[in-house]
Amino acid sequence: MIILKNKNLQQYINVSWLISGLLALMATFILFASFGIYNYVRDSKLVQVELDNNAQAVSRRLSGELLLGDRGSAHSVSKQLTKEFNLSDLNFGSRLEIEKLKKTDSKIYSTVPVPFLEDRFFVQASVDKKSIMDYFIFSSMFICFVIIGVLIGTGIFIQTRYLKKHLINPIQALVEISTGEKIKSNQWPSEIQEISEKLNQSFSEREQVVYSQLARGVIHDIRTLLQSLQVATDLANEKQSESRLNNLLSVCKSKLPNLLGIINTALDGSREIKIKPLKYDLQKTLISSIETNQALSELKKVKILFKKNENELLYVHDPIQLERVFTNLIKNSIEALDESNIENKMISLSLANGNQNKIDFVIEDNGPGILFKSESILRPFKSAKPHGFGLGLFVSKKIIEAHGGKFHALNSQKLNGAKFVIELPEVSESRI
Amino acid sequence: MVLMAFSNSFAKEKSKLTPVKVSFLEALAPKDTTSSQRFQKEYELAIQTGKDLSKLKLEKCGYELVDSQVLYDSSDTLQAMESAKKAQESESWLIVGPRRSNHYLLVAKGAENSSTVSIMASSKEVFELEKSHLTLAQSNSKMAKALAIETKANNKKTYISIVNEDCISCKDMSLEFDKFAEKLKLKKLAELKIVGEQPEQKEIEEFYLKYKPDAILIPNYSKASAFIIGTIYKLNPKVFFVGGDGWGDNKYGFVHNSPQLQKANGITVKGFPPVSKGLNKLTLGKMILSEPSKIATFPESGTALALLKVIEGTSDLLCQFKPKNKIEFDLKFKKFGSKYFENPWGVSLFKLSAGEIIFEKTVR
Repeated sequence: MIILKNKNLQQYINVSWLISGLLALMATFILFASFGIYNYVRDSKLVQVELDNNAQAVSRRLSGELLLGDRGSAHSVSKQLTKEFNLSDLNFGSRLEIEKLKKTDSKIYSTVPVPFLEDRFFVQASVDKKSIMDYFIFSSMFICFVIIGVLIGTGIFIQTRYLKKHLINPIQALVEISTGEKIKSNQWPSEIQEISEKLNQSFSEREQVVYSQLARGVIHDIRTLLQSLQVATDLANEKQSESRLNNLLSVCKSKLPNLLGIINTALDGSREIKIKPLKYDLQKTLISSIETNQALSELKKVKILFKKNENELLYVHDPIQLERVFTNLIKNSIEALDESNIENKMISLSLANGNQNKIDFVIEDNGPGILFKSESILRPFKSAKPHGFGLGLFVSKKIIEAHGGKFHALNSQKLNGAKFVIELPEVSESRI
Repeated sequence: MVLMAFSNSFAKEKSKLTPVKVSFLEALAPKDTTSSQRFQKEYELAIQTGKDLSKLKLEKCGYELVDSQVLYDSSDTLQAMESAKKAQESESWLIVGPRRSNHYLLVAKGAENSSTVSIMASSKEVFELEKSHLTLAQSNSKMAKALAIETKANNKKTYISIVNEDCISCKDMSLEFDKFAEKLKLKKLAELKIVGEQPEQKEIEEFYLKYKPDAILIPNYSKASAFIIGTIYKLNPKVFFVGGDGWGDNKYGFVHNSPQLQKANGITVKGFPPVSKGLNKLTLGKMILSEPSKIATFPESGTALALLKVIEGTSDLLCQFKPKNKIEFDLKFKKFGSKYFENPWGVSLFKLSAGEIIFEKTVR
């Protein structure tokens, strides 16, 4: 069985034509064999019938000679009749004489009595049997095979050229639609033209949606922060006490990193993330993230459970980027728990060597969980938060994928909340 | 009223006529469709002409000729015997047998108890049959004698024979020719026996080149003869061919019609002269010559002459002895038939000159 997997179009075409060719060859062979056998069987019957008829005719001719007695020329005429009727042998004589004649399997025989002399003479005529091989026209079969071969070759050539012109090229052109170009050609097949129109329309609508979501999310957040900064700077402009001014300055200082974080996240979502890997204790990276969220978790009364391993967990990774991921996930859980009315809010973290040299990081909480299809939350602009613009998890996923890992969003069965699993593969030293 | 009375009386007379069934049997060569069809037409018209011309005479004698024609494949000789049996069973008074001796001898076997007459069979056995089986042909002996004398007269000294072994009459003719040739000191160099109408060409060529005689005796039927003449003619256009009565005539023979024999020369012999010279020997022939417009088609072959003679002889026999039935007819035929069915023409010599078969003379 031919298994096609991840082959290019040329190979698919070759194999499809090869299968067609083999089927055609088999069909041709079966056809020739069937015709040969059919003709052999039919002719075998016909030859016997024809021989019987010829034997009758011969016996009549010989009867005409034998009835003339000594003046007849039965022997000479029988020689002539042998040639005339294409017989291999022709004998006549009494029944006993005819029965004594040797018979071979390579011949077909017919024995008939001589009319008007039935009591004295019998005629035995024979013809050579044809071999079954004589009925198989191998030269014709060979010619058919050659024709099929030429057709297959021509078919491959034409189909490759034709498909490339009318299918591959249009599809490649369609890809360009995703870059924002308007692609359309009247020479394409109607289905592809239709697809191109739908894609053009879809990308236009998508652009609008992206713009709207960005505007609704990022710009709203930025405006909120800028409004806070404007209020702070406006107040600072007025006559204020020194302590009041210091207070206003600390507000500005605390808001500016947030503003920068929003802008960085937005930028990371739109560009390729480059990691700077180094061999570093992954537990430290995680603990750093927990410490970053320590104040917030205490404020929101969320308990973070993490059992630190006594041994270092050295792993080749980019500590800054992974810290961003862990921090984002912990912060998301805290915010989700904060908005729920659950008591004993808790987040469970684990970091362990998994199977097949993997490192599994699991974060789960007892919050409301993921309300829509779990994995879709990892797509851009998908957010469960009222003011989230849906780039945090998307960027986290990109970071994990940049490490060669996998990022799964689930619902926790253990804590009945959300659950995120990060599988990080073991990376060799050479990657550093 | 007078006319009606006459008409009724004629109708009554006609109803009193004794039907005399005559079966005509003849072999055709269906492989030569055109030739066979032309011959068949001539054959049928000759019978019709004979019947028409003898009708009045027969009616006056109280007879009506009812003909039955059986034309069969010449390659199936047994049909001659089977047809003759059927004709005898159907109470035919007379069976007019085929031209070839082989066929006619089988007719005589199939209808042993009937009166039969062949229009051309000439083998020795035919003349040795009982008196109820007659032939209009001249004997091979007479024809061979005329041929041998004419060959000698053409200054030929040596000859070879190529004879169809499956033709009794041909073999007889060859034997008879040999007898007279020996007397005339014509030297026979060799004889080649062949079978069928298209013998081995190479064998004939080698045979001729081995002996290179002055003359070649080919006493076979016309198709085989034409084939042999054509084969040897290519080797030597000046060779002299000597043929029997099987060569046929200008109208139906293959020798005459062969385009490759345009300059072939020789002699042949027949039991019949050309129609123009033979008709005046027959009462029916004289009627034709006196009023040719009364017949549909003028007879053109020796076969037609022979058929007219058969019908004339039958009419004469019937009117002379007035047999009431077949048995009486058979008795009269056996006793007097040879007088009524005798060839009146003698032996006719023909010349093969520049591919044409031309009447030369009649030999008595």
